[in-house]
Parts: sequence; structure tokens; C-alpha cells
Amino acid sequence: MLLNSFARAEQRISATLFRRLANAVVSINGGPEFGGILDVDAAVGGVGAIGMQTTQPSVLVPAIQVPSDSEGKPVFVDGRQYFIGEAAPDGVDVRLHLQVTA
Amino acid sequence: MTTAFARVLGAVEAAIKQGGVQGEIFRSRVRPISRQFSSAIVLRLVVAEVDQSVGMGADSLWSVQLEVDCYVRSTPAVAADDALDELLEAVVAALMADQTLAGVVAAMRPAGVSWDFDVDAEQTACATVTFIVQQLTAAASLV
Repeated sequence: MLLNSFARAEQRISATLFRRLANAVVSINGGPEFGGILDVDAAVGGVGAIGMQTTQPSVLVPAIQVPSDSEGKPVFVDGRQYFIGEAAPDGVDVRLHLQVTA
Repeated sequence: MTTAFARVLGAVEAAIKQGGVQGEIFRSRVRPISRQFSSAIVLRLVVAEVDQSVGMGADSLWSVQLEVDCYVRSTPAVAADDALDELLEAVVAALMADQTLAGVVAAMRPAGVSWDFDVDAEQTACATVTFIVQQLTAAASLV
């Protein structure tokens, strides 16, 4: 496939990004393991008058590793099982928003 | 001496505990429920108004709006809506077992329920039950 120079640069940057910054081993739905960038932020579930403290884990992965029907699929991140709540495109990568329940 | 309203909160807390309901109980909590709690109950007084048509000046009949928030978070074993329904049923059953809360209030009844759901790592959910509590005090008094 012929890519313009910007797209080629974006792919090179993405490959370098995962090579240098990957901090988690990811496997989607029993597939092969690859590197991802895990981010676990504190969050507050906006329910009731005061809400509930929780976390908002997400992992940035190369788009090529993500099947098109990924929502709800199990994903292991550093050996811990999550489920994909949402797969949000992020440039040439995909940010997977993770849930502990399907 | 505590007001009639504080006595309502105390009696509601006692009734929920006596009913064996699972979950930490907080009064008027304003910080989010900590991650250490898989379920929690928050008691909040909203408003109290005197019924001017009764008492003949000798007593005041208060109508107190109390909100009981039932919070749960999902676990791999239990979905949030199932856990929430179980907690909601247990709380209302505990409070309606004696609608005078062992004689502390004149009467108490649920007046409405609202539900909230959200999802992050876990699903979180809250059902808020609004109760109307009838409470007598001396005239021109909160006691």
C-alpha cells in the first residue's frame, strides 16, 4: 500500500513508541502477546449524590493487534484479565478502555 | 439534646443494622465511596417542613424528606444491577419492618426510587430511595 510521507512517519513513530515505552504485556482474546502502554488513572463513578471511587484502566496498543469486533473480548494485561469496554482509535494506535467485568 | 431530625438518622441507621443489611453505613457523607467498600449506604436529610394544619399549636408535625443512597460496585461474580437490586430490597425491607422505627417516628414510607449507573474499571451503581418521615416535636421546637 502506498502511504504518504505523513502516514509513514506516523507509523515509524508508533513503532518506536511501543519499542521504547511499552510497559505491559498484552494478549487479546487468547491471541499472541505484544507490548502495550498501560495507564491506570483514578476515577470516580458518577452515581448517586457522591459517587464511588474506582479506576479507569486503559492500554494503548498498535491498531493492527486489535480485531474489529473487540468490544467485550477478554484481554490479559500483565497476566490480569480484563474485558474490552471500548476500543477508541488514537492515531495509528488504539486505546482499549478496560473493565474488570464483561 | 439532639433534634428530631438527628434522631431520625440514628433510628434509620439502627434499623438498617438490625436488619442485617450488608454494607457500610454513612451519615451525610460527602466524599465518594472508597474503593475498599463493595457496597455502602448513605443517609441524607434533604428537607423538613412543618404541617401547619395539625397540632393546634401544641405540637408540630414535621414531614421530613430522607434520602437513602444504596451504592454497589460490580465484581467478576456479581453484576452491578443484581447487587444493587439485592441491596435496595434489603434496605427497604429493614426500614419497613417497623414503620415507626421502634417508636422514634410517627410514620415512615418510601415515596420514590431513582437509579444511576456508570462504568470505569468496575460498573458502579446507586439506587436512591426517598422516604417521607412523619415526626412530632413540641410546638416551635426542633426537639
